[in-house]
Amino acid sequence: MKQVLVISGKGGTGKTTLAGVFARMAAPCVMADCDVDAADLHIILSPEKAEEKDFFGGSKARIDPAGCVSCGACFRVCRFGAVRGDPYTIDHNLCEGCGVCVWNCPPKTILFEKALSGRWGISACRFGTFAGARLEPAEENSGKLVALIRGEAKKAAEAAGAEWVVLDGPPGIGCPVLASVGGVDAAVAVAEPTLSGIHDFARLAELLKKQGIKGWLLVNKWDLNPEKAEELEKLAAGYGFGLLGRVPFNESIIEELLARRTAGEALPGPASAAMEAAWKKLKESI
Amino acid sequence: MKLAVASGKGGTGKTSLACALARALGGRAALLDCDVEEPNAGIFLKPSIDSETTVASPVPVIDPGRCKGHGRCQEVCEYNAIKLFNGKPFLFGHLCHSCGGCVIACPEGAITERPRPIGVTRSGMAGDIFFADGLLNIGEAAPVPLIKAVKKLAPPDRDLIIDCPPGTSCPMINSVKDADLCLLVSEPTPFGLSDLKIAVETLRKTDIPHALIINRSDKGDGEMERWCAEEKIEILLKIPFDIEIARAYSRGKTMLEARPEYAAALRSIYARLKAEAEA
Repeated sequence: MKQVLVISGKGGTGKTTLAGVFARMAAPCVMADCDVDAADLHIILSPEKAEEKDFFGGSKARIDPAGCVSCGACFRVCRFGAVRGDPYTIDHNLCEGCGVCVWNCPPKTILFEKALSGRWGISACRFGTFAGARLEPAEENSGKLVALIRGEAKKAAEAAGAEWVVLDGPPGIGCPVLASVGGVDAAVAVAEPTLSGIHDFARLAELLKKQGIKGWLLVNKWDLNPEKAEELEKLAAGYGFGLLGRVPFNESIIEELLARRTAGEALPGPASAAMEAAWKKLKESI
Repeated sequence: MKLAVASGKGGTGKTSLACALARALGGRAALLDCDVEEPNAGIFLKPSIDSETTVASPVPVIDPGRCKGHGRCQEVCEYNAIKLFNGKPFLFGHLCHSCGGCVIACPEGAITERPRPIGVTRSGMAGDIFFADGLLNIGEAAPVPLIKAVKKLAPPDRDLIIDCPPGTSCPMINSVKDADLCLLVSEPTPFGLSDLKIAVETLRKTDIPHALIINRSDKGDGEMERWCAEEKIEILLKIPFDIEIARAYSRGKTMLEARPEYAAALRSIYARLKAEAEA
């Protein structure tokens, strides 16, 4: 079983669209959405309704005002600016769940409660098995939820004897990305030929190099700026990336998305064909 | 006024719009790029950086001479960043959230802290616009302390535009925090709408007023507008797809370079929002 992660650094470059095509090409496979902040892959895969399971990422502090003596100990020990007062209260959204105020409260009137941070589920879809998760809005611990969903996807792949796990990654280079890249067999970066795209790709490439993960590049909307497309490919080659080709700007992709389909599923075109060719090349190479 | 520009979904045009707005406002504006994982505003505004400051997070240092192996540090650490092996504590620095709990908890006073650099903030002027951003070190998991450091650079006497990271978790929350208003930028596709809904839910949870700009407004269906009408979210502006704007973007130019006529629209939207925020 091999795990392929689609990633980008910069947001909105076409990760989910590409992950959808990879899922279709790799079927029957296991798919997991690692962008738990803003999960979208389910929109084009339309998995069956899953039994939803709760994810408790950590605990949050809450002051029971009945016992509060307004000593301010919680305010003094909190490093995250989550305690307001007097009268003292804790801002749930800013609480980091460290618990330091809880055991430093002299009258022991701060409760430490497990916080429901997200939900996840596994169900069947037309390309195999889909593992989806969603972080509750304004919650944290996205890295832990990514780790959980990846673990579940792996188990499902082993149970089904699936050859491929296709992972749709989050943007950025922080905590959820670090949780997504660990241990994958290939990380496919989707980048656009823009100055921002090149800047963000370079940071992602550095990260993958540091983590010792083999990277691949697919240039999306290459014809927007052919010079920059070439620049991206040179940069990627310098990082030891494999090149998976170029995808032209093509409007039929949006038509497919609006119809909740993966690119090329009903309206084959030059863009979806380039994505399919990228999958074939990747498959042969790993 | 403190105006946050956010989206939920990445790549909808947050940075490009935030920079165009700063350019349209000119000398009253300050732009803070809080997307410290992938900061791009500097590409569009081309500031001359005159100050660069390393930002560090405190991490524990355990004095083995004083440690008696009580393990209080391990007990209090909610992040499993300290583990005892054969009575000796080991630190897993990448798991540490710098809460300082172990320092307080250690009965022997054997734990102190040292600063561990997580990135830099940069500030300067882009013409008459104040500019600041942050650059997270690669491999660093937690951007929030750096986001807070960027926000501290805000000059008090300017109109603030805060370019936020995508998503709806801690980096986005800490970027939009204390904003008078959040300007959401989205595109009318199923992905855009799905992420917009989560962003709106997040802003409601944190009591931040918000309104929407729809980018590439002709590339999608009418679902987003219908949903906004139901939810009473005001649509301030619709920007149709324009290949010239896309090409200008690829060269690091804001939409104003391709379509200067948007400057007046952005100025008047801003003036109205500011008047409402201050009323």
